Amino acid sequence: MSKSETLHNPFKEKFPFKVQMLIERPKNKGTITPEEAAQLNGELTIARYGDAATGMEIVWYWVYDPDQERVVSARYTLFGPPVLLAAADMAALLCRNKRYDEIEKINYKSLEYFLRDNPVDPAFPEEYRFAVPFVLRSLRAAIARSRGESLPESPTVCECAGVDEATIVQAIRDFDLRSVEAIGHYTRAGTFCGSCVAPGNGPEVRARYLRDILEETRKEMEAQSSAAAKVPEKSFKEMTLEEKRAAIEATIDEYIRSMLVMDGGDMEILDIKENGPNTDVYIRYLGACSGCASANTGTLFAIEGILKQKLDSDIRVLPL
Amino acid sequence: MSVYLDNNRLAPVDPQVREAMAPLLEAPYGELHALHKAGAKSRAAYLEAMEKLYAAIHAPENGDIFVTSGRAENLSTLLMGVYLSQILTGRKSDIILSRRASPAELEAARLIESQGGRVSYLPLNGEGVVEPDTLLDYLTPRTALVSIPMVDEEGGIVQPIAELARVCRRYEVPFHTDATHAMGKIPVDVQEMEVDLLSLSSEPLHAPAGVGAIYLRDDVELMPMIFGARSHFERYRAGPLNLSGLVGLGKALELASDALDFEMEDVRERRDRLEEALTAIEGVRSPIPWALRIPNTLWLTVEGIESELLLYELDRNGIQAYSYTVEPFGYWKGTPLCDVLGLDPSLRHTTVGFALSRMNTDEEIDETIRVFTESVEYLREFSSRSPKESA
Repeated sequence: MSKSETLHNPFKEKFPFKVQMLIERPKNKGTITPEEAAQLNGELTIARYGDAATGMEIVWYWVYDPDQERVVSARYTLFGPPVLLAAADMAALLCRNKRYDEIEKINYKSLEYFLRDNPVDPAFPEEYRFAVPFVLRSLRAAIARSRGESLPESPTVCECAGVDEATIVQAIRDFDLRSVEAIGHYTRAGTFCGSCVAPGNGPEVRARYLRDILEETRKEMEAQSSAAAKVPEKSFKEMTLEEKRAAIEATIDEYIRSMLVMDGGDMEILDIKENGPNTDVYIRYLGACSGCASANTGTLFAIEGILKQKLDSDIRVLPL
Repeated sequence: MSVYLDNNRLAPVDPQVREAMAPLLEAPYGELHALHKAGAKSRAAYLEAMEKLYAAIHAPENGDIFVTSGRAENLSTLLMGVYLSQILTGRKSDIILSRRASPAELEAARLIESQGGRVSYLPLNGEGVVEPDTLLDYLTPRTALVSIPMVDEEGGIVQPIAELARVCRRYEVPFHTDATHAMGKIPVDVQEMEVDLLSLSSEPLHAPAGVGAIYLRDDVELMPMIFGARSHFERYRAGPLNLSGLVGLGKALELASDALDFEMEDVRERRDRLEEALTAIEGVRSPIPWALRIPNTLWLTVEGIESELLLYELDRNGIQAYSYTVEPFGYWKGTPLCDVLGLDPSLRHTTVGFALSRMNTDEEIDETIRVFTESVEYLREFSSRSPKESA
C-alpha cells in the first residue's frame, strides 16, 4: 500500500460545498398532488425505484405537459444516504423543462459535473460514487414507465444492496472498473455482507459472484477493444456525412459540453454541410450560452479549435 | 451543544483515569524487568493495576490474567491459539461462535474454515439471545471452543452467560466470553459464571483505547501469539507493556465497579427517559426488550429514515449517535441485528443507537430529545417511506 492509500480517509467529515448545501438545504424535495399538476396543465407521473430494504429508494413526481412535450415540474421523495439526496436534488433541477429524450441523455458526467465545486475535483469521494448512477437509473426507469415500457430483467447478484447483473456489467464498462471494491463504490454491490464478492467471502452461497462477472466483462472488453483496433480508422475527410456528424457529436460530448454545462449553458448541432474542402457545422447555443457575450468570440474559437485539433483542420463552426 | 452518545464503541477518558496515568506519563519509568529504581516504580504500578483487574472480574487466586492490546487481539489470540494447538494437531475440529460474533472472530473463523476446521454460528432467538438449549444442539465431542460475547455491542443485549457456561462445563468444552461491553454496566464475576476464559477491553470503559486483558482459569491452556517473552510478565504476550494504558485500565475498572452501585442507576434513568420520549414519536420503536438490555443502551428503528441521513442530520445539530448498518461504510460482516430480531426488511437501514455514559447530563438528554424529534420531523417531509404515506 502506498503512502497516499495509507493516508486516504474513506469517511467524509465534510462533503464539497455544493454537495453539502444540497444535502442540508435541498430545494426540489417533496411531492406533487394531482391538483397541483392540473394547475400546471400537465399529467402527473409517480415512479418508484429501488427498495428501502436495500437502503436506497427514490420516488419521482413529474408533471408532464403533453402540449409542450416537456416535464414542467419535477420533485422527489427518497429513502437513502445524504449523497443520494444531493444527487436527486440536482437531477430534479436538471429534469425541469426537458423532453423525455433530453432527460435520457443526462449521463454520469453531466450530472456529476453539476455537483462539482470546481471542474477538476470530483463531487464525491471514491466510496460515495454510487448515488449518481442510481439516480440516473431511476430516471431511465421512470421514463420507461411513463411510456408503458419496462426495463429488461436481469438476475440480482447482490441481495443486500439489490443490484442486478446488468447494472454491474454496465458500471464496469462505463467507468472502466478493475476491482471488486471499485464495483462497490459505483453500485454498492458487495459492500454489505460480502457474500456476493467471491465464494467463501460471506455467510451465504450465491449463483453469481462479482469476481467472476468482473473477470468475464474485462475479457469481453479487451476482446472488443482489440477487435476495434484492427479496423483502420477512417480519416475525417473520407467519412460520410452521417459519420462526420457522429464524430463531431462524440468530440463535443467528450471535450466541449461539460465545459459549457459548468456555466449553465449547452449547445446543439443543427446541421452539418460540406462546402468544398470545408465542413460547416451549424450550432445553436442553449441555456446561459445563448446571449452570452463570449458565445461569438472566445467560446466559439474554443469549440472550433478543439474540433480542428481533434478531427480536421477544415472544420468551420457557425453559430445561428 | 455537543452530545456524545457513542460510548459503546469508545468512551471519553475519565479525568480520574488521566490522573492515575499522569505519574507514568510525566516522569520516566523503566521496563518491567529493569534492575533500577525506574524499573521498580514500573513494577509497583504494574502490580497495583493487575490487582485491580483481578478485583474487577472477581478472578480467583489461581486464575491467570494477562494484558493485550484490546478486543481484536484478544479474540484473534484465542481463536488462532485454539486453531494451532487443537485443530491443526487434530485433537479437536470444531469452534462454536454466535451469529453476532465480532469482525475479529468472523475473520479468524473464515481462516480456520479455509484450513479445514469447522465453525458453527449459533442462531439467536427472536430477542437476540443465544438459548442454552440451542448451544446443546451444536456441541460435539470435537468442539474445541465456544465463544459468545456477553453483551451485544450494537443493541446491548445481555446473554445468559452463566447458563451457557454451565452447558459447556457439563461436556468439558472450554467456554470464552467477551465481556468488553458488560464491564461497568452489569456485574461480571468469573467465579459466579464459572467461565473458562473471559476477555475485556478498555475502549468503552473511559480508559484510553488499546488495552485489553484475558482471564484464564487455572487449567486452561492458551498458546501465545506474540513471541519473545523475556520474563514471566510477558509469558503470554511479549513486547514492552503499555504500562500507562494498563494503569488507566486498572483505574477505569475500579471506577466502573464503583459506578455499578448508583451511577449506573442514574444512567439507566436517563436512558429510560430518552427511550420514553423518542419512542413516543410515530414510527420510532425500540425492538429489544427493556429487561434484556444493559442500562446505557437504546437501539431504535426509525421508520422511513435512512440511518446515514439521520446520523448526518443529528451530527449537524451536535448529537453524535451510531448506526452499525452504515459504519464502517456499510460493511456487515455478521448478520444485521434487524434480521436477527426478525424485523421487517425495510427497517434494516433505519437503525440508530444511543449509548450513554455516566458523563452524560440531563441537559444533554433534553437536547437529544429536542434535536431527534425535530430531525425526524424534517427528514420525513421528503421520505418515500414515512409512516403517514404508507398509512
